[in-house]
Amino acid sequence: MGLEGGFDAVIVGAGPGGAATAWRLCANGLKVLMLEAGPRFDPNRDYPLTNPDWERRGFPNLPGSRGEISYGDLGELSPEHDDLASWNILTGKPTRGAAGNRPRLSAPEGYGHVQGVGGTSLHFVGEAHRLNRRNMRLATDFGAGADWPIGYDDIEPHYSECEAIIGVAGVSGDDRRWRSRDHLQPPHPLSPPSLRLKAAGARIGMTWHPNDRAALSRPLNDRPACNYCGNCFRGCPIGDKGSCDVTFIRMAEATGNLQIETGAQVTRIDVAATGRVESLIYAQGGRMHRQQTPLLVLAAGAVQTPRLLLASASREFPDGIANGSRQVGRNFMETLHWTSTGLLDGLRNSHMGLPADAISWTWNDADAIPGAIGGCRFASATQEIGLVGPIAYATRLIGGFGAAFKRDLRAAFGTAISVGAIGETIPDRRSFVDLHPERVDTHGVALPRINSVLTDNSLKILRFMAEKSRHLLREAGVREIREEFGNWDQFSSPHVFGTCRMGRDSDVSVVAPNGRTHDIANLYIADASTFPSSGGGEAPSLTIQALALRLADAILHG
Amino acid sequence: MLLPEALPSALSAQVIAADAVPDTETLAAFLDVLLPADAQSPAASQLGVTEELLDIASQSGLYLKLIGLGTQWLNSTGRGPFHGLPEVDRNRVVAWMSMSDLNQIPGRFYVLLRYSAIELYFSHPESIAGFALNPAPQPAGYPPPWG
Repeated sequence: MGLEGGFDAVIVGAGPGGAATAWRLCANGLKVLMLEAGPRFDPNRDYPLTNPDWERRGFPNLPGSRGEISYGDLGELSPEHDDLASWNILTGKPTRGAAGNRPRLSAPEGYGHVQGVGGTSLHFVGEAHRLNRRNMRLATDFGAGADWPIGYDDIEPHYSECEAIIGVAGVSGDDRRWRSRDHLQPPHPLSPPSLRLKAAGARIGMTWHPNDRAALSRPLNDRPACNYCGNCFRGCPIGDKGSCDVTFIRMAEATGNLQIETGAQVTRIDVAATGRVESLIYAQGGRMHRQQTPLLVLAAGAVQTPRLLLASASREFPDGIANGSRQVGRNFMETLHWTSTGLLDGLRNSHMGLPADAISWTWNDADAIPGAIGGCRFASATQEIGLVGPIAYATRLIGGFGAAFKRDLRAAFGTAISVGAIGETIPDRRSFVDLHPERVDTHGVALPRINSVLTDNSLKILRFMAEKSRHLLREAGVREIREEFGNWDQFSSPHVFGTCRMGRDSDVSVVAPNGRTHDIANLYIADASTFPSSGGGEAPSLTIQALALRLADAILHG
Repeated sequence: MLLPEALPSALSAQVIAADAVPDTETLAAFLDVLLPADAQSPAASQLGVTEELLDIASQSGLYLKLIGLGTQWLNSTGRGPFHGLPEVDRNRVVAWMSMSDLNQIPGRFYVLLRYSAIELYFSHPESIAGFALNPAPQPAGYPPPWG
């Protein structure tokens, strides 16, 4: 293959963390090799939004674009929480009070991710959130979880830089998310359902704002402004969505210093007797390749990064590499989420507009939810959950058949209104990623196994989110909730965190505040596995990218 | 598309053991009960949904057999094949199916075929007459105002 020499750094993973790291290093003259297990997507060919059958298609599943994941202990479901079960008006609510607990299983796509150039940002909706600076010391302030070893002020300059590069549109926040620069693009106009949620929220003490979005409201760098097709999650064919293939990756490739190899799955990292990464092995095109690695940045996400570290165990490192703390894979945090949907008389065109265009941070502080530690947020969810076409309505919200069904469907279309909430997860010893003891992938690498149990604290937050969502919809005028779903009864997590925790104490953390692993001087991690806390519902991609720039600066400048 | 691979074991065993071939005319008539023509859009069979469904189902032996059992059952409900029954009787049969046990052939057939028919039907631009929808979200999008 001829790749072995000549690179200053190797990055594993072309998602948000890898992309931002690559750009910073390449822009400063470093030669970077990026190894991505998935493919490169072609928006014109692969995203379905110009086809008449667009609604039958989700984000494309190309060869290699999904990793093989296994699941272990996901906890048990107790009948006392059956009101948190997922249902819609066609399936009906599950029978209450069924005897005994039953195991929580994974949804068909439990760990929601994309492998490819752009990573999971390719199918994300594109919320661009900064962390709440008041929520970064949960251990010190609330005796739960772990503190971030850095503060908001340490990340803030990098947040600003990322927002300017991506072209984030939104409004400047309050002191919880203060900004050093006024650089945001104008906020997007609120969609019809968001206007209703905002008005209803004002009557019940829930304040709504335009959301900060990685979607252009003005053209930027040959990328057009959004035309509000409402289908961000199906992939953006016009490039207004700030997925990292059209931002950091594009910029990095333009330097001439980045080489991306797709379909390249790293199977093992080798550490020399010096205690430094020496090389890695990856599979591509049916062959195994060894790549010299003077400096390695892992950015494969909170499931695949710990998997690779654990799978690289050797006689010298029986617990995996960079795992002197034995924290690799531990502290796994899943996405706590809930969505309620109804139909609202008089609402029209709820499929039009930008998904997740409005947000409420009213209960985002870690002490805002009575009896629980950790906050949450609420967002306008109608388009985000796919209620943008007749198939979704007819298979989730409108029952029946025949002429009456068609009449009902035409009358109902455009009236759906949804509230989605995401909340904080506190790490628990029962939630971790390990290696499956028997199952391996096609290259013989043990599958990652996700174990994730909902704690009492998580259940309190889930219930709070459900009750507030229902209250808001009733206040908006919804007479009948038609669909609800959350992660109580099924593991379903696009945002995952914590499995290579950042900290100053090498006994209880995997990476230092600059992202360098404590144990291996030339090994860094640039993804959400380093997050000591999940945040109170913030989408993580902006923080991942900001931390990646910070990490890259540490590499460049020490 | 929702496919019946996750059938409960008793129902799955019944379907696997069956030797039933789909009655195409009855299938088309059933689909047209689900999605009839009206003033704004055609019936399912007029858009070719019957053929599309059979094409997809042929990729799943289980689904094709379920359709065979379902159309066989439909043909047993009246005097003669389902597709020859008066419209009012066809509607009455399907209404009964819509309320029947999901773990029996009629109920499962109704749910799965309804889902499949809807997916296929609304993939045709002729089906969305009367909806505030473009044939596809791009390239036009939905620029404001959205009033």
